[in-house]
Amino acid sequence: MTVYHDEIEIEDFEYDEETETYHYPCPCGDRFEITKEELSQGEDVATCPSCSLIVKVIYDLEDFMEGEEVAAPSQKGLQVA
Amino acid sequence: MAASSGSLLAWGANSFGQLALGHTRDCLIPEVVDHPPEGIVSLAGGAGHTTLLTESGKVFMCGSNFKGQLGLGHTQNMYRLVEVPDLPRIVKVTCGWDHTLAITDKGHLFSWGSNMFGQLAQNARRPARIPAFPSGQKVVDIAAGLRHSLAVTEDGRVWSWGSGVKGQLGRFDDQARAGGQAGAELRVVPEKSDQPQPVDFGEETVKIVQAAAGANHSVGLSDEGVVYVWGENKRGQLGEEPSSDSVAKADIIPLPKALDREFFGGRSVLRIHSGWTHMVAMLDDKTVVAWGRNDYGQLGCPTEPEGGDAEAEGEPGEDNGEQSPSKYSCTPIEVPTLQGCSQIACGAEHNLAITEDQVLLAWGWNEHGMCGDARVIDVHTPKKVDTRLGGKPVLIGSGAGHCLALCE
Repeated sequence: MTVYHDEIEIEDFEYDEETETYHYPCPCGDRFEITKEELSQGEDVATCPSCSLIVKVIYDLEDFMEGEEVAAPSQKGLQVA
Repeated sequence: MAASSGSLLAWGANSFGQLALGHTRDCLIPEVVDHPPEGIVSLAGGAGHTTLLTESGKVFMCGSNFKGQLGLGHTQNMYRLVEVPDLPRIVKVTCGWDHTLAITDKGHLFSWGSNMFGQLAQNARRPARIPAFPSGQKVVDIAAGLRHSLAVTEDGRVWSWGSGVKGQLGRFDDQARAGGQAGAELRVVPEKSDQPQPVDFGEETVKIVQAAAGANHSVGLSDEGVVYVWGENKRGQLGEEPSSDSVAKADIIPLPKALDREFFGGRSVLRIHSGWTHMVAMLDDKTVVAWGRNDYGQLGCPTEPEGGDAEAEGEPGEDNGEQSPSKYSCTPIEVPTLQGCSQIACGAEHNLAITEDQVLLAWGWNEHGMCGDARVIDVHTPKKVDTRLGGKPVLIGSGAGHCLALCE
């Protein structure tokens, strides 16, 4: 059974336009990463180059399909009633 | 804290040279750092960077530097300690994920490193004073999370800036108050803020004396020993049962919530520390308690789940380790063997402590050797770290996945 360190929404990742890679902090000090291409293929596990931990990326596959615009990170803060 | 000219030990994750050992190999047991500066008074770390402060107010750093978090005017990683140039005399320094905050002897606040979320509150490309910190108040304490910063001023207010999407700024966005439907006013947390603004304690008169920060949450300790928490509560770290089953769902407390004496069994808090999603507190009877995430042994107490308090989410027998601790606890649990300890430091998912009789203990996540026991199996109760290479521990500090101890 896969044990995820965490489940993180794509909006919470930092995007590096040069490498087309999304990053999120890993507790080892390195970063979980997943590429735009991997996301477009339905991959939802971001890995850390320095350790065994993995996180599940929560995203909408349609936002990453070929020819589609990549969803910009949410510009709105969370709404609290 | 007394300055010492003892030896400096480093161990744990070292992908960026943060252990100051001149290489980038992880160390599963403490190793001696060559030629540390004289008179070290504090040790701290961020993701992959390390900072040392000396008695004379100098700051030395090493490790990851790709966002300029070492304050050297370039972005090259450093595998050995280097003094940060051109700083005023510094009295306190702390690290966020990839940024650094420092208080000068005049109570001014300096910042450097990543400003992706406004966490520097200034735009210079090198260490610079946060301009016009509000009302000329002296800054007395600082803390930094993954993407946000906190400062406590001498009047007892807490100021927050940086990312706010998880409620970690403890205030609503006055500019962007969304008009709700038919009178139902929606209040919005700021997405990010590049200016320090006071945390909203409402009508309550609260004097905060110490701040701490988790990955996406914030903590203030009042002069009366009451802990206030705000931000993300995904692992019960804010003392409430996470509100949803799915860990992916946002679980946020946007304004300060008091964890009062009742929460701590009638005791007040002397000192509070935070890992990414767990907290460790020293109480007024010198007991140490912890709560929040526990799946790597962060709480130091392999207790069986108790009715309603500590709940195991997974199937029985799911963990293959020797012990099977509950995944989190939203109520404080006493950490054994830490009664009366002199210092505590939290990494992302591990912790260090120096006991009353000067023994160094470590517990929690251990994949990179953070627990210093030459193994990589998580440590569920505080375990002795062999510091004989350096002597008796007098000062500890921790980054996300790396550890530092000054010994004499």
